[in-house]
Amino acid sequence: MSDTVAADAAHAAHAHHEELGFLRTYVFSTDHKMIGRQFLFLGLFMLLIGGTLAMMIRWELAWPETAVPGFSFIPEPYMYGGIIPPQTYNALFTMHATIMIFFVVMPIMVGCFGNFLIPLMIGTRDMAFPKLNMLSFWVGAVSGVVMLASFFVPGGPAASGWTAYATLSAKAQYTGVDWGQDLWIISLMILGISSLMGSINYITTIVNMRAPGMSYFRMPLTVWSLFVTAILLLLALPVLTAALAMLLFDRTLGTSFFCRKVEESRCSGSTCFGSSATRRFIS
Amino acid sequence: MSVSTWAKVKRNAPDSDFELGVAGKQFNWEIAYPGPDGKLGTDDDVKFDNDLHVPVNKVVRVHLTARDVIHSFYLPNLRLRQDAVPGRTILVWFEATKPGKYELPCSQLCGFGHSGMKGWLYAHTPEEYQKWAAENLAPKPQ
Repeated sequence: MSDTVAADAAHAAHAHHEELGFLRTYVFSTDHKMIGRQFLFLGLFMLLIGGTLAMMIRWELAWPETAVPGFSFIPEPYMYGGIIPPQTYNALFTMHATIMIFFVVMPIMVGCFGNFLIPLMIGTRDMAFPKLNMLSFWVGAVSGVVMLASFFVPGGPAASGWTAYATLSAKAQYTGVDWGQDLWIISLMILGISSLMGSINYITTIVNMRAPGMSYFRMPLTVWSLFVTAILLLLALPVLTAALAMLLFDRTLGTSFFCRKVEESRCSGSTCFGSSATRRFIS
Repeated sequence: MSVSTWAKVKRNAPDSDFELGVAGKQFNWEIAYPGPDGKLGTDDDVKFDNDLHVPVNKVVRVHLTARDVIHSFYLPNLRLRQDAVPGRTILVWFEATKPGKYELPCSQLCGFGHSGMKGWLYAHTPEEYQKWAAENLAPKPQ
């Protein structure tokens, strides 16, 4: 009897289930599995670009100063009839590494597997904050667009390595890259916000939404690894974002967080914050 | 344990009367020998680009710095590598035991000319070094 009532209730609930349209199902979805798939396809799309850059790097190493097949359309001074000059080579491996780490490995290993597996493995229907989850993906996608846009600005994309060591990355004249490096920094700051939202979601879900009886010691190791990753991201991202902001300020506002010398013409006295302390430090 | 090991390696350079200044800059190694006053970092220092001449079997103390961006002083044959950091002077040392000409590349990405930033270490016999020093380091008549 009670089984029949329950089945009827379930059937009634299903009958009133609102059918979501294409946009809500595939684009602005709040379903953890769909967001996991979105992260997967974002990662795979970026893999094509990062992989192409890798092939170009390998071509240059294997056959130096010969034209890369199919790339003769790229204008000078970025390539010369398909031949990669040193500046472009630096840009290629900088962007290759950046794309592979931040837009392939992280979205697939953390974004895709985390979103897809965590709710299934801990026995809950969805993540703790589904809309935040959706926002995390789309902020990450915007970050990818900003990173790819840097290929099309004058001077080309960032060329100071994916680690962007200052002072090489702190002044445009050292690499010859102006806007490209700025967009690189802005993109990673946006991506940091995306990852932060993801981390908060993972941690909250794992702490609060485990099925009854699933203690931490019964939790699958996959979930444990994603849990630890989320905690590490939560600790690291504010520091990384602050460093990126300081680098951007050095490049655009004339501060000297990383620069060896204070350029008096651009940055004088106490009007430029950070300068006096830095001057004492370097003197 | 790692702190003490690091200190042992990095803070205890053997004494030597052979000291040099090396500064990395886009895209050269600037080598400075003490001038007639025998002191590094003064106006009479004798400077060369990319060519580092030393005698064999002599401890060479190098005061390493950089003028613009981070470079890396790399002597693969002598198993020596040290970043050169703008605003800092870092002491490194080596002792060549076999005369020859050895590569001195930059091993830290330092800009579009990084791949061409390469100097040479010339390890001379003591007699050859004296000859080279007499020709190149002796004060020029005014």
